[in-house]
Amino acid sequence: MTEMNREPLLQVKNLKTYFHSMNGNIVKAVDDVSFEVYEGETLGIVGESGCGKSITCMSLAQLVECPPGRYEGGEILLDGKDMLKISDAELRKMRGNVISYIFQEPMTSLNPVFKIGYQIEEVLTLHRGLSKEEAHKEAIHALDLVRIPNPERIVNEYPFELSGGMRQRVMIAMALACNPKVLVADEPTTALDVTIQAQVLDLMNDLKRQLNTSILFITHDLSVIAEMADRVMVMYAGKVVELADVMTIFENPLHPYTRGLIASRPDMNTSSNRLTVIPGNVPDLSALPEGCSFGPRCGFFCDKCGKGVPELVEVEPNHWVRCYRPGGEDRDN
Amino acid sequence: MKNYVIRRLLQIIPVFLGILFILFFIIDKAPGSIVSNIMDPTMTPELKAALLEKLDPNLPFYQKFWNWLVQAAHGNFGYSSKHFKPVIDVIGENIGVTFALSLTALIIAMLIGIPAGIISATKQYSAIDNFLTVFSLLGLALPTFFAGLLMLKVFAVELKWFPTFGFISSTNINADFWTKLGDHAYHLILPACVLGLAETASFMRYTRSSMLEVIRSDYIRTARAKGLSEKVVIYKHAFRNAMIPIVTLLGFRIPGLISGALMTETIFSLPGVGKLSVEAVNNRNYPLLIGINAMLTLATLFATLIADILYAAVDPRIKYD
Repeated sequence: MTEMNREPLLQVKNLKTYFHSMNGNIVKAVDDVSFEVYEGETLGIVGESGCGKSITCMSLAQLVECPPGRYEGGEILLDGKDMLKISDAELRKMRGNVISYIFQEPMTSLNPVFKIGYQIEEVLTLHRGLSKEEAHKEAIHALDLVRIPNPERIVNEYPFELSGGMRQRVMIAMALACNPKVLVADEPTTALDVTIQAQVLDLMNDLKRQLNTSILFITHDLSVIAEMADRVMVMYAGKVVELADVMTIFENPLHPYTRGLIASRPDMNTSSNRLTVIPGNVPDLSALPEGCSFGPRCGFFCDKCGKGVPELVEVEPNHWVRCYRPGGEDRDN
Repeated sequence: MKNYVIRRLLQIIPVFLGILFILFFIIDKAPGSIVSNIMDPTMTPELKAALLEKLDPNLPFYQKFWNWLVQAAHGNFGYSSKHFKPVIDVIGENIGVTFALSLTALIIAMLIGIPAGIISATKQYSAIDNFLTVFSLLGLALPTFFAGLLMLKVFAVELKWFPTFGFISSTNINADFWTKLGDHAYHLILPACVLGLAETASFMRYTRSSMLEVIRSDYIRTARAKGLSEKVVIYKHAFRNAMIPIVTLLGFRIPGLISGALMTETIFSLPGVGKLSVEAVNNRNYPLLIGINAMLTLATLFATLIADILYAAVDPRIKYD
């Protein structure tokens, strides 16, 4: 699906976003994360809560609250610019224009005191320099694009007058209003019920094809990933543990954590009444275990895993794994 | 909206009558009478009793209440025997000073308190936030009678920047309108600052906590993700929401515009309603006391109605029908 010889649209290199707590602890929420996003593809990011997937994506447009957060290093190359080095004014020109966001909570992500239309018009007047009337027309068009019925009426309504699914469509309309190159969707359907979820996902896939936008799709729901993503990045404790295209991830996962996640899905073809689980909990990011962070929960744990942190290695073409014993077999290095 | 306002206006009537009834009851049970302050040694007890019978006949309080209502309905709100004038005229002479003083103080409080609160919230735990917090705690903790005397001592007595008392200088009593107005303003600066100090502090604390809550919300993150400048994010998206609880505070302050600042007016000898009501209590001048309180009750009831209407104006989620 993805041609790897193309230039990546977004390139993240060794990104480090840390949090400094009051008592001097350092939480490495994003620890040396590198990945690329190509034009028109959807990169899914999966992992348990607190694994750093949201902070990774928020860091892309410097949306992490600083302090307590701090960008300790790395590069984020988007549209030829390093997002961590550009001035505030340039950064604001990128936000909502080149890279835009859809957040998890549609109920609270829209400003309750402004009309829907105004909130969309704001991006259009800011980035595309439209006049008020033009922006108003364009806002109606944007709502129409996300299949909101009666857009002429909805522009004059307030967020509290819409349902959760409708609000998320408004968020999508707002995010896509300036034809961004990258759309970051941070668990956009988690707060919605299943039928609405399916509608919103269909809509996103359609729009992606129409507008050729690249999507960074964060979720902890593997069935959603299967439907949306071209490639998948699995994160654990602030690090990338596996990166491959979606078929490989589901058919030939190599990292024990990815295997655990896939095995934990409810399966209709099994007679067992119990769900498979990964033993243990996500470690405290300020007190990570020695060696591999997943070590204490891993079934293939050996001496070597307790001593050093494995590197992310390309074990097969375009299949990267951070493990000494990928698939349970000893690796040479 | 129209129906709502009419309904609320009708509700004011029973509440107003209830409060007046309680007022008459309390005054009836209070010790002393209009003649207890007459210290004339030549006055015999019989003469005192006769005078009392003439000024404040011994009727049951509900009877007095009813009489007052009937008279009020005819536009007669009682007679202040101390001032030899109808109550309404006495209040009318004093309310201007009070209104000017309280309004100036309120404007000072809002102009300083709200921006300071916003800065304090956006720079939480910074040096400026700590400084403003200490200042506002001082403003809240210092009683007006102390802060007032302190400022009077420093700025009026020692530095002689401002007059020590009154609302006009004796030399300007017969001056033209504009000279008088300037002199009034000059006399108001110090008391308005004293009164405004405590209010500034409470506006600042309210704004700060309200802003802190809003700044952390998801829609502020959305606003930043849209590429809006920090100024628009804070002063438009955040403040529009933080304003809602501040409107409540403002609603509470409206009756204060005419109730008068008892302490401040007394310290600076300003002829306002606050000072007038203290005198009315001391002299057992019941008609005046009832007149002032009736007016305040009405003002408070209308102010809460105005606050509720303002609510709907700032928060689209609130609709009355």
